[in-house]
Parts: sequence; structure tokens; C-alpha cells
Amino acid sequence: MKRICFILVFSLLCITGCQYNEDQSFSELQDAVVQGRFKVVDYRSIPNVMNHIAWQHINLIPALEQQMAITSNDNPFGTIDLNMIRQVIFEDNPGHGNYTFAITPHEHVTGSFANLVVVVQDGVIVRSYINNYIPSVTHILNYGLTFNEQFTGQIKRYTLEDIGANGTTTAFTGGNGTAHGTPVAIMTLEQGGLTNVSLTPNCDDGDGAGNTGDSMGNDGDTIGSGTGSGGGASTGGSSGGSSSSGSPNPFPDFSCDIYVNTVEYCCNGPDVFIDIICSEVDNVNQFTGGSTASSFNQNTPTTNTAPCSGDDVIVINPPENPCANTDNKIAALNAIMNNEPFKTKLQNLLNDTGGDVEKGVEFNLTTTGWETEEFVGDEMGIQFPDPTTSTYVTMHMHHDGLFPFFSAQDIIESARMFLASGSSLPVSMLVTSQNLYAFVANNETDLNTLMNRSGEGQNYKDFIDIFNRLTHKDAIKQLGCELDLTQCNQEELFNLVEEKIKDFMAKEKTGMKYFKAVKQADGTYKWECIN
Amino acid sequence: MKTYSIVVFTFLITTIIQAQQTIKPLEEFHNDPYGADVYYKDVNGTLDKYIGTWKYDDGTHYFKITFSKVAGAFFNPNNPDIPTRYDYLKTAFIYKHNGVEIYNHSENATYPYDYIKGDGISSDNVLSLSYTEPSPNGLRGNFANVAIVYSENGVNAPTITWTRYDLPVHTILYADGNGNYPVITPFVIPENMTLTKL
Repeated sequence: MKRICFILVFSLLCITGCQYNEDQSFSELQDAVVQGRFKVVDYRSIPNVMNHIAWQHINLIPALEQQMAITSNDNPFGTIDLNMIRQVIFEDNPGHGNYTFAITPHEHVTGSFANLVVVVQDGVIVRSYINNYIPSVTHILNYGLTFNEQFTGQIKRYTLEDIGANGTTTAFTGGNGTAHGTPVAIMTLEQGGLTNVSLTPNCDDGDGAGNTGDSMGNDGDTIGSGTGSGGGASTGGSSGGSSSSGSPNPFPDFSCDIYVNTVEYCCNGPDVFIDIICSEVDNVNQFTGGSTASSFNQNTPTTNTAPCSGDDVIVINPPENPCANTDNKIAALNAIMNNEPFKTKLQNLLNDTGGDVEKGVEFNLTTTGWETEEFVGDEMGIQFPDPTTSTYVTMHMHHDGLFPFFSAQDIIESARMFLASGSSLPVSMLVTSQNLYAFVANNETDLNTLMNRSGEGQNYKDFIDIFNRLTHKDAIKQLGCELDLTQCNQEELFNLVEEKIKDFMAKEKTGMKYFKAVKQADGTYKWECIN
Repeated sequence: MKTYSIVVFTFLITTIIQAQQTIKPLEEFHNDPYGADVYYKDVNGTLDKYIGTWKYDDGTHYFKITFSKVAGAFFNPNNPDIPTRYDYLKTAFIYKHNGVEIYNHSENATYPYDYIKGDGISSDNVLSLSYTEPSPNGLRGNFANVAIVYSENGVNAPTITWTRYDLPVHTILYADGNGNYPVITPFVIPENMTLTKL
């Protein structure tokens, strides 16, 4: 009886608390109304919108009244939250409106979130789509999955109409978040506003924008950090290229305001809304048809032509600078140096380099933030766990009794982590009392090749043998101290080994970039690309 | 006839490729950058005197090792972009402790790890080998170098002195692609021995 009373009281307290917080978040959203652009709506007040959504999922949603939770089988991104719907108001054209729904990510979906947007013109549904927001790695490393009026990264748009009335899907395949079909548009939001749109997902259209096939951020398209765009306007955009002539541009490259708003309330994860509101003219174009609107709903991407096709295209490959386009990777490394929880863990490892045990930390991104797991390798050794999609960063420390460089095993393990990670720029960092070193994923194909060639069995051992032979043994031999290591000049040896590792990394095409940070006079570290 | 033609064609291609590759003495292997299009050949026959079977037995430890020479092997057989070839010694060995067999590693073992192998010619009579020992799952996390010094006096059988230098052991262990972790238990074969040629 006592226990039942306790549970009842506890439940009442929880319900009261939830109600209070939801009210509070409603008032936060209502504040936006003051800005004249948004208002909070009850889903029961927009039956046409709800019916539209229900129609799109007609075989998937049992009853509209049941807090319509679209299950993981229906929507790869998460569950549509009906408690938080906000309407974008266009004062000059009251017939136009967007309804933006937050989508609570599924547990297995980390590193991105999504909004459902239904566009209405004079009471008629014009279109609906899901924007999947994938923050840049720099944003994640700086702010985690917190979006306080800021977002930098990539936006992939999927039309909801691609889900057929009979429940079959063309855009959303896989059903569990593993495959999202083909987005109709991709854009990058960098510091300074909107940038280019790619409408040719598997082809570099030469505009410098991100491409869907480039999961490692090679072209530097996710650089940028902490752009402030909430409430105020992040207008304009960079003008570096454009999509092909005649292609619809669902994200006009000018005069757009970006509103980022996070609403946190009890008993659920935070809802994040991002509204991209372009100038009235563009909004009219988007809403009322015309070439832009009519072609926007297509579920097959517009095919770009040159330079991806055509026999007369001459491709000249200039000599590759191994350190070209690594700014985004250095930005990611700097973000790790300057933000928690990385900063403290890194300092702890640095403090322990004088000991005799090897230590490591794994940083996993979850919907509730960063989770860290620490490992201490004693004389029996410790088994580092297999990486998962949520593993974004690993750090480990070589104490002064070990060579202050990545080992062959570290290279293979980094590649394994990079391929498993959900991050577009996963990082493996080595901490030594001498310097810091890092591998950052760069090329998925080469990573796979490395693992296929050297990931297991005799090949794995061969890789270790070859690395040790080429780096440490050859350096020792070159210095003439192979019969008595104590006779080696340590500084000479380390310099030589470092050069040989650089040579090895250059020739092996490991799929990762190699960085080094040297301690500066002021105690800070400065990262530079080695190869 | 068709098979015969293919064999001849393959032989010719191989010969042409080998003929184009620069040949350098094995002693110079460590001087060049990684990946050179060079065949580091034992032109001086420095490895030849080690070929054969050698034994150490102090009553407690019994160790018998057989060296054989592999000629013209690709240095990194897993990477077709690396054309470097070389000659090296591979080994088969038996180790017993108080009469109990601990290792019996044949060259033709089903899981033929080259646990002990090498080509590191330090001088005419000193050779450096890379070294590790078998484990239940074949994976080892600890490694060493072995220096072997050859001597003969023309009267008795030749001998080699065997000195092992263990490398620092990494204690954070990673699984291989099959989920197996290496072991880092200490090596059991004696680190200092004098072996006699059989």
C-alpha cells in the first residue's frame, strides 16, 4: 500500500512537472510570434494538414487521434511530434504558410535530426517534405547536438509525396534509418548563410558544393562553425557556382533568413526547428507553382550534364597535394582541443604520459550528448571495444616507454573505426609527451581497400611486420644501433621514424590524413597536416 | 596447345617485368624510400650460410629452427602498388619445455604465419630477424627483433648466437576483422641461445 502511494505521488509530480515544462516551452515558442513570423498551432486546428500527412502514411498510421506516432518502419528519421507544430506566417501573403513539425529522432539515429514541413497555399496543400539536417562535424565537436540559434552543415530534402498512398515508398527505403532513398536536393549551410545546391547527388557538378558520395568531407564542404542565424537573419549566401542552368533551385541562393529554435521540455528530447524563409518573391515562387514549384516535387533528381558526362570533357588531374582541402579537418581537430568533454580528457591523458600504462578514451555521440568510455591497459592488456556508428572520436595515449607514434595496429583500428562511424570526419588522436598526432578519415574507398588487404589474418600480421620493418627497424639499422638499442640517439631515432611513417602513409593510401600538433611556447598546440 | 601458349606467354611477361626491375644488393634495402621499383636480391649469398636446421638444447629448453630462403618475394604482397621484391629467410621451428612440445610451427602450417622471418643484413655475419611467437588464435600483440651472429671455425659445426630484443608492448588491444584479440603474454622461447647447425 505504501509503495502504491509512493508511485501515485511520484506520478502526479511527474505529470505536473511535464505540464509545467510544456507550458513553458509553448511560451518560448509564442515569443517567436512577437517577431511576427511564427505561431504555435494545435494539430486539431489544421485537419487538412493532418489528413495530408495521414494520407501519405495511410496504411501506416492506425488512428490520427492517437498521438499519431509514425513508427520506425514508416519514417527513417524518427517520430513526428504533434505537440510542437509551428506555423510560419507571411504577413504580406496570409494565404501562404509552412507548418513545421519537429521529428524526434529514433534512438539509433545519431548525428542528425529532421523536420517535416507541409506547405500550404490558400488552404490547399502544395507540397510536403522532410528536411534532414546533418550538422557539420565542426558543429558537433563544438556544440554536440545542441542548436542554440545556430546550425552549420548539410540539409537533405526528401519529398513526402514519394510515399505512395498505398504505403509503398520510393523515397524512404530501408525503413530503419539505414537508407533514405535519394534526396531531391542537398544544400550546405555554412557560416555566412546558404551555399550551393547540388541536384545531382552522385556527381560532382563542379560547383564546389557537397556531394552525396563524399561522406568524408573531402571537398571541405562542411567547414564552418557556430554561425549565428537564429532570430536574426543570415541573409545572402556565397556565390561560388550554381546548379545547372534550368534546374529548379528549391533553396534560393539569396535573401533567405534562417531561424533555428530549440525547444526543450520534460519527458522527451529537445525539438529542433529550422525554418529557411526566403524573400517574399521567392516564397511565392516556391508556393504558387511556376517552373520552380512545379518541378520541385519531382522525385527524380534533375540530371546535370557537363562536366559529369559527355565525351568531350577533358579531365586534367593536377599533381595531388596530400594536404590540400584539409582545412575542415584541422577545424575539427581544433574543435576537439577547445571543447568539452574532449579538452579535459585530453589533458588527463597528457598528464599521465610519464606513467607506465597505456590509456584510451572513446567518445560516442548519443541523443543525450557525448558519452565517454575510458580504458586503461595494464600488463594483461585491455580489449578496446569494436567501434560503432556513434563513435566520433577516439584518443589514446602512448606513455614514454612506447614509441611516440601511431603503431601499425593503431592504423588498422583507426580505419575500422572510421568505416563504422556515423561521423563524416571521424578522428583518431594519439597523445604523447612529445607531440599530438591524429588521423582523420579522408577516403572511404581507400579505407575499405586497406581493411580488405590488411584487416585480418596473415595479412594483418604482414601489415604490422611491414610497418615495423620500414619504420622502426630500418631507422634503427640506419643509425647503426640494431644490436644495442641503448646506443641509439633518441632524438635522431624519433626524427627518422617520423619521416619513415610519413613516407609509409604516403605510399600506402590508407584513406586517412595524418596530422601533427606541436606544443607552442604559450602551451597551446598547433595542428598541421603531415600527409 | 592452348595451355602451353598461356604458360609461355606468362613466362615471357614475367621475365620482361623482372628484367625491367632494378636489382640492388639486399644489404641496401633499408636505404631507399618505401615502394621503390627495386628487387633487393641476395647477390652476395649472405643468407645462404644460415639455410638449414639449427638446434639448442639445455635440458629444459629445446629449440630447433630451420631456415629456408625465399627469393624474389613481393615485399608487400597485399598492395599491388608496391613493386618492391626481396629475398628473405623464413622459418619452421619446434620448441619444447621439459620435453613438452609447446610450439611446432611448420612452414606448411594451415595458418602459416611467418612468426620469425627476416632479411636484415647488418654485416656479413650478423642478421636481424623480426620475431613473434604463436598463440592459440594466431594473434600476437608483442613483437621483438632477434640478432643472430654466425660463426664457424672450420673444425666444429657452425653456430649462431641468438639474442632477442623485445619491443615495447602495446596494452590497448584491438580485435582483428574476425573479432579476435591478440595476446600479449610473455614469450617463452629463451631470449639468449647458441644454436648449432645440424
